Amino acid sequence: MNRLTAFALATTCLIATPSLADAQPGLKHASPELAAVTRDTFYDVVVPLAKAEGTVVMYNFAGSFADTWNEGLLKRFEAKYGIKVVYSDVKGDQADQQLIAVQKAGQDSPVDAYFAGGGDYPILAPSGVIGNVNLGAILPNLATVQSQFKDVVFGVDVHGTYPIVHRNQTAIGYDSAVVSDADLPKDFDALLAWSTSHPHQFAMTLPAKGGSGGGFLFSAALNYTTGDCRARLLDYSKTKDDNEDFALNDTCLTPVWDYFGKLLDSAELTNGNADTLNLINNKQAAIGTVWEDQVLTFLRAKQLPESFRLTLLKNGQVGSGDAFFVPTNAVHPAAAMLLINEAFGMEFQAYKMETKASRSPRNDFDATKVSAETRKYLLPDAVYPSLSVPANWPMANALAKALDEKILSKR
Amino acid sequence: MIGLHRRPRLELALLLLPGAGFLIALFGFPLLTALLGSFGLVGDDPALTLKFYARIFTSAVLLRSLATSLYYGVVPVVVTLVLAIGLALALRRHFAGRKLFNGLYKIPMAVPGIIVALLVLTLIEQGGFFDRLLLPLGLKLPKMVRDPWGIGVIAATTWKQLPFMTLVITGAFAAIPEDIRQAARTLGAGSIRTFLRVELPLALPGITAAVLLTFIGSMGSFAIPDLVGAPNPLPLSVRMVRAFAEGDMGQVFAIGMVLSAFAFAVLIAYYALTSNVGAAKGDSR
Repeated sequence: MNRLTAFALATTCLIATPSLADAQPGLKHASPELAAVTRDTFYDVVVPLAKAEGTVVMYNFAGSFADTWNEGLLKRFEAKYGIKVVYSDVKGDQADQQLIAVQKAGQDSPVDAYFAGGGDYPILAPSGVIGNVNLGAILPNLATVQSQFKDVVFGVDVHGTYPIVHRNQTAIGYDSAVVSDADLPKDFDALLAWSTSHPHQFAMTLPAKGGSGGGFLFSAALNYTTGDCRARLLDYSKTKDDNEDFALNDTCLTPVWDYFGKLLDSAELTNGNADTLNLINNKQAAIGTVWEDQVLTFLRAKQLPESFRLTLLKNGQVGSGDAFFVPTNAVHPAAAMLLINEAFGMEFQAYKMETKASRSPRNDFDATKVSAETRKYLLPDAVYPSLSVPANWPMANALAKALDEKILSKR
Repeated sequence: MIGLHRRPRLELALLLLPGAGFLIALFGFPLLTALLGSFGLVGDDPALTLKFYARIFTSAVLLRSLATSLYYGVVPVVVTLVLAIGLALALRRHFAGRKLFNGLYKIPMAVPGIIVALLVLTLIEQGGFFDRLLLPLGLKLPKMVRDPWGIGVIAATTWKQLPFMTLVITGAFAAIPEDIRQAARTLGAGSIRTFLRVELPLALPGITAAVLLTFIGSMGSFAIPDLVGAPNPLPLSVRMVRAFAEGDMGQVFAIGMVLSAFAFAVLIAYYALTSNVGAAKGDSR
């Protein structure tokens, strides 16, 4: 190739690139065929493109999920399509900031498919990190995913860009060898009474350090408020500052702070969800705030007694979930979409439910997909899903800060 | 090049450039960015503000966090200092197995803080390894993890920092000429008096250096207080990571600057102390 040809080619590329990018505002590196793909044409269009890309880079923010991805999805995906998956476990907070920085610098994303915290959308979206492609409308395996897990996620309209692939549930965990069903608190008042009569036997994860504690705090706030106050707690449209101002100053939350003022006289605050479970495993606590999926992980690793069981308090406890998305500047967008589609497949959804108590967002998923052995460690049908309430993590975080200011800093 | 010799300042600057440039690029720019960020001057809409500092010094929560950081900075250093001086003095003597001990006591230096925290959780947590050992005897360990006095944090930090401080202090004592020690003894000073009035002052620069570095390390440490410390109040280092998780970078920078300010204050105190020692030495001659 002579210099003139090279110059002409480079000039053509320079001219062509912006027009291509303009035509595909969703994903920077999407070809025109990929940008025009529909659910019906998905496999015909995406599979060849993905194979041509040859590689997909995946980030996983959830430490306990590494085996699930590798054994349940990635090996099978590589064998099925011959596409290499470069997998990395990341710390979600750091990876979020990395992607935001990369996006601001206009560089290519280091990751193509990112399994991120469900509550991270408000952090990632304003910087344009999340590719504006409606996965919910395009991916075949998302056809049966409920709208609340792909269109309006935790009250935020995500336009199908941030679908929830793994659902989890906060709960009350207890050692049934220590706490009988008759003594088991059924609501928030009963839990306070139990904790008062059994000092340091109720372990509560500090809300600032773990979602089960934050979820418990938010659930208690819903329990002790009514009318406009309760509606305000479930208002997802407010800014972080608005939420913090409300949590700190609104008098309608007084019953909530009264509750925690009393509860924390007898409860044991812990440094994280694992810390709470370890305390129960060490027989130093009998009841604690937990995540359903984490409990199963601990049970499988023999880090909790076989007698450990779960329940939900009346008026409900927070359910949440984590999402998959394609970053705007992903280098392998077709392979990323194919991988995400596989993650929503029935086979993998059943696998993660069986191994991780990871609930499925698909409405055609039922309990028969899970063994009887696993079912005994899950939330019983009597309380789940009827007592599961959606999370509002920005508000839960604001309440956690207010708890610090109003209760903890005065102790 | 001949021209450069006529401009010694320029020549000096060019000679220093590789080293100083490296420091400026790796430490200076990030520090400057953090400083600007703490005043709201970094980001999409930069605007000068003191609100991040105001939060630290007006919020009851953050003021308690600052106090906790200072507590976690000072107390482990005091405990480590006492133990390190004792260990350094012991290592001067000959005893059976001294060589082996001299190697073994340095092991904690190679162990990351997070492993030390997990070690503490496994061993001295209520219901942990030692508690289970004591159970048949009807005994129970006091609460040392998540306790309000931070005993677990102090124990873990001390264990981690003891070898470093001992190494530095051993070196400081070893640098004192034997003649001076002998002279003091010849002039009638007992061993304790010789230690307190002669050896300790002469070793002070080394000791203060060790104290300074361990203080900075323990005040800014994250893993140990995060896993072993009381959930309330949290030290600033833990709050800083929380702020980072929320994308509140202004607050992250401000907390970082406050922690750095304390480190710099200790650094200045170190120079003041050691220069006084130097002056005192000069006077005595």
